[in-house]
Formats: sequence, structure tokens, C-alpha cells
Amino acid sequence: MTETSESGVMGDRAIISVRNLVKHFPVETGILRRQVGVVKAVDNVNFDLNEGETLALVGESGCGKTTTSHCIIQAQRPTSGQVFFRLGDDEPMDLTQMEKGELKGARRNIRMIYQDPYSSLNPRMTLLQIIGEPLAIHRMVESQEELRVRVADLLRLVRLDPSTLNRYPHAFSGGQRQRIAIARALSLSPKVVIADEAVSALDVSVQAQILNLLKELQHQLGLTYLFVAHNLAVVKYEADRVAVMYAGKIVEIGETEELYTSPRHPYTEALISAAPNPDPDTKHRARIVLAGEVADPGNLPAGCAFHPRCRYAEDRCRQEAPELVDVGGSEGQSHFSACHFAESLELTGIAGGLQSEKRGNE
Amino acid sequence: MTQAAGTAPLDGVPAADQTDQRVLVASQWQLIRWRFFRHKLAVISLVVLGAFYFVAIFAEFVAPYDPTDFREELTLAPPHTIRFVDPDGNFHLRPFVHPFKKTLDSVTYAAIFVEDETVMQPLGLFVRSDPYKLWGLFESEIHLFGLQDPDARLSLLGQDTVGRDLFTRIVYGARISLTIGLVGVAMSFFLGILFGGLSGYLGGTVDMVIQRIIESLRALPTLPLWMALSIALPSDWPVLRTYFAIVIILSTVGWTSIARVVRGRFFALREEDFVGAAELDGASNLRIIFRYLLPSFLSYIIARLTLAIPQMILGETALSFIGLGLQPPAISWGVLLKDAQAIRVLALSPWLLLPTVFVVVTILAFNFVGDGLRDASDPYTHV
Amino acid sequence: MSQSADPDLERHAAVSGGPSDSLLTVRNLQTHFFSREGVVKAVDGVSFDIRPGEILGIAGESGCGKSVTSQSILRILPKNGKIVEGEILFNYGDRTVDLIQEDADGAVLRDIRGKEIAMIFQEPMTAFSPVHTIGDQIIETIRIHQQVSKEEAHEQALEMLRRVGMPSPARNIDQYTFNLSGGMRQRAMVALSLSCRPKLLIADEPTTAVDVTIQAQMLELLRDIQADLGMAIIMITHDLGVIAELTDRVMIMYLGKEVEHGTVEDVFHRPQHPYTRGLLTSIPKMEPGRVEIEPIEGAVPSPYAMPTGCKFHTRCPDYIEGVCEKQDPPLVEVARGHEVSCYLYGGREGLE
Ligand SMILES: Nc1ncnc2c1ncn2[C@@H]1O[C@H](COP(=O)(O)OP(=O)(O)OP(=O)(O)O)[C@@H](O)[C@H]1O
Ligand SMILES: Nc1ncnc2c1ncn2[C@@H]1O[C@H](COP(=O)(O)OP(=O)(O)OP(=O)(O)O)[C@@H](O)[C@H]1O
Ligand code: SF4
Ligand SMILES: [Mg+2]
Ligand SMILES: [Mg+2]
Repeated sequence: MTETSESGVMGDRAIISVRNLVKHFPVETGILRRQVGVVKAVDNVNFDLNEGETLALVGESGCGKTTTSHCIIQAQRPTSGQVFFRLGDDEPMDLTQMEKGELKGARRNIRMIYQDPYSSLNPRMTLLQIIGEPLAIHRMVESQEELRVRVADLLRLVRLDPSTLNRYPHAFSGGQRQRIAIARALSLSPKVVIADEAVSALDVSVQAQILNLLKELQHQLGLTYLFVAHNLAVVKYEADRVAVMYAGKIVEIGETEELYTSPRHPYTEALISAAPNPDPDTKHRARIVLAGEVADPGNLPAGCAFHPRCRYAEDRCRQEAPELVDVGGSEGQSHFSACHFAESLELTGIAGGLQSEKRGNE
Repeated sequence: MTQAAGTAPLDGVPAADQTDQRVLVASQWQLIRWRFFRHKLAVISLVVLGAFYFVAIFAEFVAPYDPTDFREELTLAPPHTIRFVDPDGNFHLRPFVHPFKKTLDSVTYAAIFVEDETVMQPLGLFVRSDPYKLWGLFESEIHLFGLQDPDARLSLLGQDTVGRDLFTRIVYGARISLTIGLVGVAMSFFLGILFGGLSGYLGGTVDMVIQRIIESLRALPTLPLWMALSIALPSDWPVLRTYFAIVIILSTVGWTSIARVVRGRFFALREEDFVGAAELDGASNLRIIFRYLLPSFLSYIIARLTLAIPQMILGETALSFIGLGLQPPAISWGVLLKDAQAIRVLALSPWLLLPTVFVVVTILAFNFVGDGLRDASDPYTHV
Repeated sequence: MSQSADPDLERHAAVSGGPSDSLLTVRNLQTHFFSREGVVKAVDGVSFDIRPGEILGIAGESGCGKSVTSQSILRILPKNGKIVEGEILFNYGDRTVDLIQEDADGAVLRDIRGKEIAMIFQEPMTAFSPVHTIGDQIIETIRIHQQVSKEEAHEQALEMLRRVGMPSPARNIDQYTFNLSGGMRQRAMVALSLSCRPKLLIADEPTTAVDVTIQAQMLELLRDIQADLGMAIIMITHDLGVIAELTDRVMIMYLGKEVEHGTVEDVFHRPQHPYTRGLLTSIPKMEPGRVEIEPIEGAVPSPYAMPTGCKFHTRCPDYIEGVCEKQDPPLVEVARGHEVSCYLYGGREGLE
């Protein structure tokens, strides 16, 4: 098991603990819907989301990031495994065992921000209605007047003009819409916010605004984020800890700085190396270019799923799937990696690869 | 970012201030209206339809005569020429007609109507003629227009085979012909939303069964299906009952296409993030259907409905024309056209075909309005 | 606009040595869209040139006119788009043609498209027909532009697929696009566009929809092929990382305007325009330690409500009141080959 699980089912500081989470989708063909296979979208995922931190889930398209976050909030029911949620000193509750009615309470505390700010806001509702909707559903306001006040406060919180609350989403740009989505997510004063690619669709200049806004709100309100993204630079800026996913599994998880400077999994090394850096001086660095494509979760290779693309792969990797184990980070932090050779490999992170110290600028 | 709240304007204000304030707070329906009004043809058609429905609603008042009142001597009389200039060349502000003098063709013995130029019968507004009860409630003798002489007969669009006023009958016919489309479509709408919604929302087996039913219904050719069903109608049923039976027959097929659309939209919308977000907000199923799903495709459905109405009108006209729909004494445009079936009549009394003009105009107008609505119905496509 | 265009022209000529040694020269290109909502000046005065074998980057945020610039060059604009001014001089054989003066569907442009200038898009599916194998399509393209036998064209197609790193090219040449994975499609598209050995390749966001590892493959591929075939590339992207990795020179655009232009080193290490500086501080870096980011305030204005003067003045931290909102700042050379359109660096003389 990962993390500190001495005190029962959850980690000590965890607000959410994901245990052995599995989500399989059947592959069916024909009108008779005969099952011919299974897509292992999430395949035995374990991690703790600690209170007040930002944990990033990174990985390439189709690796199961969205499915994992949907299984946490029970928007999709996992095939197996548990998702524990703990409020303060209360007993942990297993969200996977709860009925829809019971979930309503937990979902007040775990909220979601979607990737596409165009499809995530109902174009037929005003900001007042959109942001006020959760408040109305959970009967958190007594009157229409109180609702207006609350929504205006929320708009101010995300730096939008509160006088715009009668406008419809079509009157706003992508970045502003994402602020609206954030305001909706925060309307119930949640503890945890799951942001699924919340800045990926935005222009760089606006993306930076939202990244900073999310950070400020975290400090101000003591939020915990599960930050799903595929852009490593963005993740590096935003996250305290990073979990790297490949083909439905977590292959590495550790403190951000540690993971970026001394990755312990060959896939992480390759991802870091492939990420384009906006600095022409690093143009001629030796880059690791992975051959082939991301593994298909509907047809995983035996052994380590990454072995067909891994430049360190040996026979053992083709037969035996590596466990996610703590290989120990610097300063006694935990640093998990799922690679048979995690302890022995000398992998290159950003410090070595980018020679940024040479960047003698201005 | 931190300075954002201070000196720089709030994010959003600069862009917002430069656009038209009205647009920013415009609801879906306002946006649809603005877009619709940019379609000239659709707007004109809407006005035409509005006028037609006004006429249909106030048929008793608008029609100058009683639709059943016949004057044998005027059988197949042609339309009057409305004149402003008398035979002596004097101009009259008030239009007038010359009454018909009937003579017999010396060879064929066919009736020939010639205008009696010695008599001038002026037209008027709000004139008295046949008494009626508006909607069966209000008794009156005042008609919107007609000849000032209550005993004379204005032949605006000609007289029919037994000497009834064709214009009057077209006006009364509009009542049935125009409403049968609406009622039929309302019925299809109801069935379509019900079954399409069930299909889309429940999915699974329910969906499969409903889809198979729809497919079988759609596989049948429409007109023969209607014919088969209407033959089964007892001929001694009162007019009103036949009317509703015909509506039901017409909507047997109409609802299927609406059900399809509703189902497709349901499926598409369930994938939208804002619906997923509402589910996570804890919104109940009913709330999701009524606040999120229905409003999102209502406008689209209305456009579809508008395009379905002409189908129904044509259906009624066709059935009645071949004698399987409404029967006299009911008056509909189809029933009127049935009178025009004989070639001999067509050659000598072409005005009997005039109901066709009304059918065509109505159908075109509905199509134009429907097209306009369809284009306007999703105002969020490129905003 | 027209007054400021002429001195620009001369400066450009001085920098590039005139159109004689450049492959493509764009001068004061203005492309507008006419729609019911109004006129969108999608490209509003863009000038650049590109020499044989050079890689030019065009960068900027969504809607700044990058794609419209490339569509203007190939004359494949949507119906409501019109080039209202400018010159696009292309070295075509032994003569120089102005692509704007040519008929968009005429023989010259048909010949240039595909053979002289090729284009690759974000979505590889759009480049291929689903009903023909990729091999057939590549062969057909080769035979349209070259007088070769079918067998020879087949050979060339195979060679090209091998070159772009298509796995088992002999087998995949007979595949349909829908049978290929995303990365293989991208390769097939590159093979298709390079099959006639174009002198210029325009790549419009070719890596935006793909994963980083595939993107790295793509960039590697473009770099190799460019070195191999010596063609010029215009790389259009909003990703400054990609620009820094691949290009020699870069043009930064904002709302249809060219705001800064120079070598990548100049622009990335010595950015002058406040917008460029803002962009560079907005992107998180892949560097050790905490590097703060500083966003640009506000949002890109609507294309229907363009600001006056310098288009960036509504968001600019260095905005000079009474100057910037008056007129378009002209391009000013701040160092050899490094031009900036901003009043901070001069160009105010013309203002009253
Ligand atoms: N409803 C579904 N039915 C079948 N397969 C699914 C379903 N949802 C997801 N998958 C598959 O599960 C895998 C993981 O998908 P998921 O959306 O979680 O990936 P992701 O990491 O979020 O990718 P992206 O970065 O593209 O959003 C993919 O291979 C996907 O095709
Ligand atoms: N067919 C069109 N009709 C009207 N306006 C258009 C049309 N095509 C593009 N535009 C406008 O032209 C401007 C420039 O568009 P362009 O596609 O060149 O942007 P871009 O820089 O390529 O952005 P992106 O990064 O989103 O691809 C935009 O404001 C866009 O709205
Ligand atoms: S286990 Fe083997 S194949 Fe997997 S990442 Fe480690 S070295 Fe590569
Ligand atoms: Mg996802
Ligand atoms: Mg583009």
C-alpha cells in the first residue's frame, strides 16, 4: 500500500484516500453487445490527498486521469476499490459504498471544475442562476436577496465584477467563464476541489491568471486540490506533489521539486525531457524521444506497461509488473516509483537536462 | 494578478463595456428573437400566418355570409369585379359591384352571368347580413365587410356548385384546416416528448423497444396508412369526433420524428459537462430535465414543430380531397377542393380551385417561419 | 496605415537584403473578414520574409490571426475573408510572383500549393480522404506535380514514409487513415506534404492536439527533415516552448498585428514589447526551484471591438496615456533584425 496507512484506512494527513481503485470499461461489439474485452482505464490506483495540498495527476491522453477523478467523486462508479473521505476528526466514509442521497452531503465538500469552460456552463442560465444553483439545491439560502448577496460575494472572490450577475455566459471570454466555473465550485465552501484540466483550454496569458487565482483561493480558503493536467510546466508551478499516470496506473508519486529534479521512473524522465521549454538555449540539449505511442489501456502489454517504449527495459520488465514502492526521496520524504530498477537507475530531471544555470539572461 | 483588484479594471469589464449592454443580459429567447427577425421572409410569413389565424378565429365575423346559406340562382357564379368607376365614368370613393343577371346560353343552356350595369351595390364595413353566433356564444348580424344591402350577395371569390359563397367557406374552412395542424402537432409533440424522453433518459431496454416501434411505424408509407385508418372511421360520427379521429391518425407518424429528435438531444445533452455538473450539484432528475435538458432543446423542437405543421395540413387536405377525411357538412380546405374534382367544373369555374392557393400560401409560410426558427434556435453556436 | 508602411518596407529590405535572397516575402498583409456582425481585421498589417532553409515561428494567442496569415499565403481563405492589401512575393522558379495578384484557383497557385508550398494542419484527418489508402494519396500527389511512372512514385512514397519514421512502411502504405494511430497519422500527413519536396512547409499547430511524447517525435522529425531536405518552415503555434525548440526567428502577433520580430534568442532573452514580455512571464518554466509567473491583466478584446491605437494598450503595464491609444505604433528596429511595434522604443515623432 502507498503512503502512511498506519492509522487504519487513511493516511494521517489525508482528506481523501484512494485505495485499490479499479475502473474497467467493457468493450462490446455487435447489436447483441457481446463483450470482447475490457479497457482498464484505472487499474489499481492508490494515493492519499493530504489536507491543504495540491496533488497533481499528470499523464498523457487516455491514461485515466479523468476516470480517476470521476471515480473519486462517484460521477462514475468504480469497478472495485475504495475512496475514503474524512471531514475533520470524523470517521472516514467510503464514498463507493454510499447511495446517491448520502453522497449529496459528501459532494458538498468535494467539488469539480471542468476543462471546457464553454460546455460546463449552461448557456441558458444567468450567472446568478449558475452560481446560485448549488446554494439553491442545498437550501443554503433563505431568500432571493440572500442568494444575490452570496453570488455577488463569490464573483468578487474570483475577481469578476459582481454587477454582472444577470448576464449570461455568452457574454464572457474563456478565462472569465473559467472564473465563473470556479465560483460555482466554491459556492458550497468545499474542502476539496478537483480541477480536471481546468486551465488547458485557456490562452497562456489567461491561463496564468487562473493558475494564480487558484493558488490565492487555496491560501485564502484552505482548499485541497486534486489538479489534473497534462502540461508538466503548469503542474510544476501549481502542485506540491505530483502523481504520474501511465496506462491506468500511477507509476511515480513524489514531492514536485524532487520528482522534477530527480525522477525515479523512466516514463517521468521521458515526459520531462519531452516537455518543450521556452528557452532557446536549451534547443540543442539531448532529448529523450520515446518511440511508439502511449499504451492502449484496452490492450496492455504484459509486465510493465511501459516496457515497449522504455530504454532501460530488460527481460524482467516484460514478464513481471513492478509494484509502486517507496524508494525514498531526499530529506526523508517519501517518493514512490513503479519500476523494477527505480533504485539503481540514474535518471535525468530538469536540473541536468536543461542546464538552466547557463541561461545568462538580462 | 494580485494587482488586478487594485489599479487595473476587473477582468471582464473592459471587454464587456465595449459590447452592446443588451446582448450581455439577453436570455436565450431574446437572442432567438433577434436572430429570427433578421430573416425577412420568415417575418413576412409570420405576419401572413398571423392574419390567417386571426381570420380563422373570427371566421363568423370575417366571413360576409353564412357558409351553409345557398342561393340557387347564383350556382357557380363567378367572382365579382370590385369597381370604383361607374359606367358613366364617375369615380366613387366607396367601391361597389354590379349584381349578376343570369341568362342561359341559347345553345348549351349553360348559365351565363352578366353584370347588371344599371344597378350599383356599394360595399361597406361592419354591415348587416346573415345572423351568426360567434364561437357559439355571441349573437350578431354584423360582419366585417359585405354589401350594404343585406339581401344582395357579394361574390368575392365566386360561388360554389350549390350557390354558397366560396370566400365565406374558405374562411370557415381555415378554422379546421389551420387548427388540425396545430392540434395534430401538439399531439405529436406530446407523444414525441414523452416517448423520446423516456427513450433517451432511461435508455436500455425501454429505449430499444421504443426505437423498434418507431422504426416499424416509419417503415409504413404514410398516405396508405392514413387511408387504411380513416376507412375504419364510422361515417355516421359527428363532425367533431371525426375531426379528432383524423388528428390522431395524422399524428401516428408525426410523433416518431419528434421522438427521435428528443432522444438524440437527450443523449447529446447528457454528455454536456453542465449536465454532469448539475448532477454533482445534487440536482434531482426532475430538476435536471426541466431546468437543463428541456430548455436546451425546446427552441429546437419548436422549430421542428413548425416544420411539421404543414405536413399535417397537407395530410388533412389530401385525405378530405379523396373523400376519406372530413365529410360535408364539415368545412375544410380539403372538403372544398373535393368540389373541384370534376374537369368540367375546373374548365368553367376555375375559382373553385382557390382553396389550393390558401393551402399553398399557408404551407410555404409555415416552412419559411420554420426555417427562420431553426436557424435562430441555437443562438449559442458561434457566440 | 499606408504612411507608416512605406518606411517599413525600406527597413525590411535593408535587413533581409531585399526579396532577392528570400523565398517568401510578405509585405503589409491585411486580411479582413466581412460578416453580419461587422468587419474583423483578422490580419492587419503583417510583414516578414523567410529565406530558403530557414525556420520562422509565428506565435500568439488564440484569434491573433496566425492561421489566417497562412491561409492568406496559400489563398485558401474562407469565402467571407478577403486580402484587402499587401504583397506576398514568392520565388517561383526563376521569377518572383505576387500570390495576391494571382487567381486563387488559377494554374500558378494550383502548382504552388502542394509542390512549392505545402501545409500541415492540426488535425491530420483533414488532409486525407478516408476512402483511399495513404499510399495512393501520396502517389497521386507526387504524380500531379512530377512526370514519373506509377512504380517510381510508389518508390518515392515508400521512401518518404520511411523518412518520417513510419513503422513498417511497406505494410502501412496500404492502410487507410482510420486504421492508423494518431502518431502514425501525423507522420503520414508529414510524408504527404513533403512528398513533392516543397521549398516551404507551413505547419499550423501540428502538435497542439497530440501528447508531449508524440509532440517530441514530431519536432524531432521536422528538425531532421528540414536538415535533410533544406526546406524553409513556417511554424505556427501558441506554444512558446515549441517555438524556442524549433525555430530560428520568430514573429509574435497580437490581434492581427505583428508586435515583435527577431531571432528566437533576441525575442526570448531580450523581449522588448510589453506583450512579449508578458507572455514570457505568463508561462511556467521547466526549471528547478520556484519561478513565479506574472500574468497579463485582462482578456483579449473581442475582434468586433478592437481597441484603437496600439491594440495592446488596454492591457499594457507600460501604457503611455495620450500616446498609445492614438495611432498604431510603427515597427522600430531595436537591434539588428529585431523589430518592435511599441512607442516605448520610438516612433512617436509622427504623432502630434
Ligand atoms: N465510458 C467509457 N467507455 C469506454 N472506455 C472509456 C470510457 N471512458 C473512458 N474510457 C477509456 O478509458 C481510458 C482513460 O480515459 P480518461 O478519460 O480517464 O483519460 P484521461 O487521462 O482523462 O485522458 P485525457 O487527457 O485525454 O482527458 C481511455 O482509454 C478511454 O478511452
Ligand atoms: N471565417 C471567418 N469569419 C469571420 N471571422 C473569422 C473567420 N475565420 C477567422 N476569423 C477571425 O479572424 C481572427 C483570426 O483568426 P485565426 O484563425 O487566424 O486565429 P489563430 O491565431 O489561428 O488562433 P488559434 O490559435 O485559435 O488557431 C479571429 O478573430 C477569428 O475570429
Ligand atoms: S520497469 Fe522496466 S520497463 Fe518499466 S519503466 Fe522500469 S525499466 Fe522501464
Ligand atoms: Mg481527461
Ligand atoms: Mg489557428
